Amino acid sequence: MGDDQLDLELVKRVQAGDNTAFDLLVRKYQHRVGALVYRFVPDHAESQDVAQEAFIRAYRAIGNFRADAQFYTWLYRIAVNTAKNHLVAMKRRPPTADIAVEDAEHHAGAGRLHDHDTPEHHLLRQEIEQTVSATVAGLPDELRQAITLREVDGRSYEEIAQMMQCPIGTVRSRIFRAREAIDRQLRPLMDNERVRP
Amino acid sequence: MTAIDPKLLEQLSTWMDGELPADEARFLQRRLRNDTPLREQWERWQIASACLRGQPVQRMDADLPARIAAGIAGAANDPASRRPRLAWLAYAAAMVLAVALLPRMMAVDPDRAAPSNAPPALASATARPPVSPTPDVAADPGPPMSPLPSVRDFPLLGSGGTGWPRSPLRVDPDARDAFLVRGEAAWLAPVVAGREPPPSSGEAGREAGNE
Repeated sequence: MGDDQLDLELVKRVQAGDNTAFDLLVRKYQHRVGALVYRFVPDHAESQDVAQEAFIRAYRAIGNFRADAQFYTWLYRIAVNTAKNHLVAMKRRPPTADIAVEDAEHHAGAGRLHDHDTPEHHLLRQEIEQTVSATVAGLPDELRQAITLREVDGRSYEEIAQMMQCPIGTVRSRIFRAREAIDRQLRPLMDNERVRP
Repeated sequence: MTAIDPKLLEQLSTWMDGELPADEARFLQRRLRNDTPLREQWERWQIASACLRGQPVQRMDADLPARIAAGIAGAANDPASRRPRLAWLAYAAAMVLAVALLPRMMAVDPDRAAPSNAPPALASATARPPVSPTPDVAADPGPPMSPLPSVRDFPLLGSGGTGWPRSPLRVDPDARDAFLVRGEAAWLAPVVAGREPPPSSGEAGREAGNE
């Protein structure tokens, strides 16, 4: 079962009335949705409100979600429409051209300082990205290889086990240890952000 | 902050990749319902994952998931969101009531069905009994049937009443004969006007057999 199947499983649980499953989807995608909305509404507080509205709309419409689509693509469209509606309601002109999901994900300027971005938020985002990259670079070879094959190449545990010539249980353990190492470096940044007003 | 069981964390990491066996996944999902630190761990790993894949992330407020949950709960408790459900209930109740009362409302009094100014032949034709299976009311000495029954229609047996009213579906032989005679007269009326009556089904069958 891959990433998409896990999303579908969570969606089915939400459709069956399990709101915890929706909370997991929110926690999984809020930062990506936030980055997307920010491109339309380049103000931190305002983009938070728009992202919140987008998730609430997604929850209301989740009964109509069909299993033949990817959850993030569906959520992406809701977020874009919510951002555009917000701009219209604020009497600001929404962009005429839509941004494709792939373009939005890999836009060259996505991480660039926006006119309305505060240096503080820009710095934090850069800090998170650099921390993750630096931690992965400093991992022991077998952990770095395992997490890279999984996260960057999207390989299954079975494929990674074949490539690294080790049991699947070892792959599972190595990926977990790599994530723990990253999290140890990431947690102080996130906790600092939590106490910040 | 309390430390999370490393075995649970490893299960979460494996589940995140969609590689956790179904029985372990069920256990973990039950655990996630009541374990906020575990869900926060899931969130941090998702950020790290997005960074590794080169996906842009925007740091969101820590209380955003709680605000979204509150918004969803607020919408569920909003009376406006329940209005459509109430409207459907009212509609369903009206439909049930209509179906229950429709046979009574369709029962037409034949005295009122035939217009008084119609020509005699037409009047006799229109005097055919309605589609409703109610017997000929003229043959029934009882009072004309009201569209809706009242309490007085159902006197108690022990209090000198005549008992329950006859079922409108029961066929009275006298009423049936009167109906047949009237029906015959109605079919003969076109002959008087110079038209052939339609052949009976028996005759039509014989003619078809001859051809």
